[in-house]
Amino acid sequence: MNALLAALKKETLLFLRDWHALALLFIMPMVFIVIMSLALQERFGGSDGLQLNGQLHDLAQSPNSVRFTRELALSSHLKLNSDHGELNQQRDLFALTLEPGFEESLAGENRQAGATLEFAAELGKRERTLISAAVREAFAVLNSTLLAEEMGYDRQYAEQEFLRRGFVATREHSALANIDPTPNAVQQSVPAWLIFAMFFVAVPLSTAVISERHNRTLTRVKTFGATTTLIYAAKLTPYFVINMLQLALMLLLGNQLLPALGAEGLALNVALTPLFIMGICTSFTALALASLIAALASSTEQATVTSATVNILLAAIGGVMIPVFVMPPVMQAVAVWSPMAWALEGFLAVLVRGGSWTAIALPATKLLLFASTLMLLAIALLKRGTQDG
Amino acid sequence: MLSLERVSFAYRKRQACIDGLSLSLGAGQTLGLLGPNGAGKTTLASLVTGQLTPTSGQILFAGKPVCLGQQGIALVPQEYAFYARLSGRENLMFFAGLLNLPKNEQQLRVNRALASTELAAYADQKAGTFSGGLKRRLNFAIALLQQPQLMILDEPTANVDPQSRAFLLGTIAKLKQEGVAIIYTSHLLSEVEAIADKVALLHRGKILLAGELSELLAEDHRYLYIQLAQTAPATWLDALSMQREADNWYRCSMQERRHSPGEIISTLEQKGADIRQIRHGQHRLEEVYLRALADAEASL
Repeated sequence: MNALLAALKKETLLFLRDWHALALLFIMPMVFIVIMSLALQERFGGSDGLQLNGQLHDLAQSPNSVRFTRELALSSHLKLNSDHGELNQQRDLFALTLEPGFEESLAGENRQAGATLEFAAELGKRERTLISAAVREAFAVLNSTLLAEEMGYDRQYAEQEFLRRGFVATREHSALANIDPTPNAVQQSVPAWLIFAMFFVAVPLSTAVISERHNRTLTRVKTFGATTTLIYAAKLTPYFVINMLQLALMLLLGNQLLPALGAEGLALNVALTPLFIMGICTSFTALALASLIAALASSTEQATVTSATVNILLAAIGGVMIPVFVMPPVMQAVAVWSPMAWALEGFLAVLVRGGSWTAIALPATKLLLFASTLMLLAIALLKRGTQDG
Repeated sequence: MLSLERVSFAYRKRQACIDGLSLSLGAGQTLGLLGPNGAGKTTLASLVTGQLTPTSGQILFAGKPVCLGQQGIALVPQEYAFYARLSGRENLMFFAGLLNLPKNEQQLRVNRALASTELAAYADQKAGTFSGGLKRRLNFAIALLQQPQLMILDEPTANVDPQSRAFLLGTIAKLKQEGVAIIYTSHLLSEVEAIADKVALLHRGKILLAGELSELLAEDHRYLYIQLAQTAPATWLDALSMQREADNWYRCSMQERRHSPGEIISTLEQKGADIRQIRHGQHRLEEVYLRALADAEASL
């Protein structure tokens, strides 16, 4: 027990004094999560938080144009101003001009358009559709209200009789229903970059093993009676703790820091135990991969390059860098072979779809089987390496 | 204390790198293990520490076969086998912790090791910031924690200043006086000559030369060295069992007592040799070593 504690203390001290490893395992994923969450928040996921800036020019200045403007401002997706600048992604995405003949067009007294809608050239089809729908809805509400008023009724009557609000009932499906909602930017970025960072323990772990092998510290440790099991148990345990710290820290970052920076927060009112089980399975896989690289590489340079390359490849095909659901079918078929994709699948099942034990069973099993295979291979190679001198 | 009986070892599917080696070492004795790079010195050290298992033969320590983590055997590798990001004391505490001793005994051994190697003043500095000499001392201090009966030192003074070398050799001499058996490998033969009682020269996994150092050096007195003005023809070499060395020096063996020095000189003069210098073997270990290797290579 003394020996294990001494070895654990040594490994912990060595890791805490390795600033490069600390930065790689903690700072790197935090930076990635913040950047990717903010950069992609309007690119994928639901439109709940979507806000599109646009200009509104009321050339009519009539009572109904003012009412229309007020109606349009109620849309949660549009943010209006009265500027006259160029339309582009950095500033305003659209411009709506209420023409001088707005009242006449509204009353059907002329056939000319009462309003003109212009879009920034680079604006996507999805956003254009959303803006048009919001403008049409405002017109529909205004028209219906005017009609109701003419008949001596109010807006509520217009909404009930003409707009038939409530005609379409909406019902939220539970996670168990056969739907697969796509994650928003935060729900995608936090687990994706967390998994990426967890696998990066391969760099400090494999290089530490190789340098100890080269400077014969491992040999010496064995002459002090330490068994191979003790040496590797002491080496892997701190990295497992580090993986768990990464998990807790990145979830907190998503939940607390990202909303403060203007992104959507990561909702953590999910089943946390399955989430941590996924973290444990991911950590086992990362540690097994690191051990295999340590057993195979013959120099620290080789271990660093191999670890980084393998991680980046697994991340690229596993949906860390580009989400699997936006990949073409061929790449989606390739993605199923990456352990990072299995880990991400498990995390998303809990974070996005509110899943629990059954939802993580398959990805967790895949990870554990893969980790066991890699670890057995690593142990066999490390034992053989001892006899090879 | 240590006995190797016809020990052989080969890495998987490769040629044997230790081949039928037999050695013995008693308490307080120092064996200088010599040999060129690749001769099998490190493999032998790994066998004695139980890191490797002989493919045949046996290694006995205190009458029992050695095993990995054998108590009483300490290794000082040629490399700085400690952690640069830990202080000297943290390194020692870690290795002491591996011995599964009570906390106060660990502390006691660490303090003793620091005192023996005069490292106490530097104990709390990171080992990576130590000079070459201090690193060698720390490497040595770690082995002292095991309170060994047999210590294997693999080039313990490589790349150190003369002061640190003298300190380490002095510490080794003290251990020897305390009854610790030592296997000492070094390319600095003057060091081996200064501290070894026995010498073994390894070459391609076999012992080329072994014995008490004093006897090996005395053997060398049985040669006569003659420098001629001219190059001796092959007939002279055969007739007088002479071997050519550098600068027209010739070594004549007197071990088989076939020729006395007087006979050799008069025979050479009769053959018209112009003798410039004559001396008896006064060679050091280095020359014994080089000659034995040259003979071995020539006989291949």
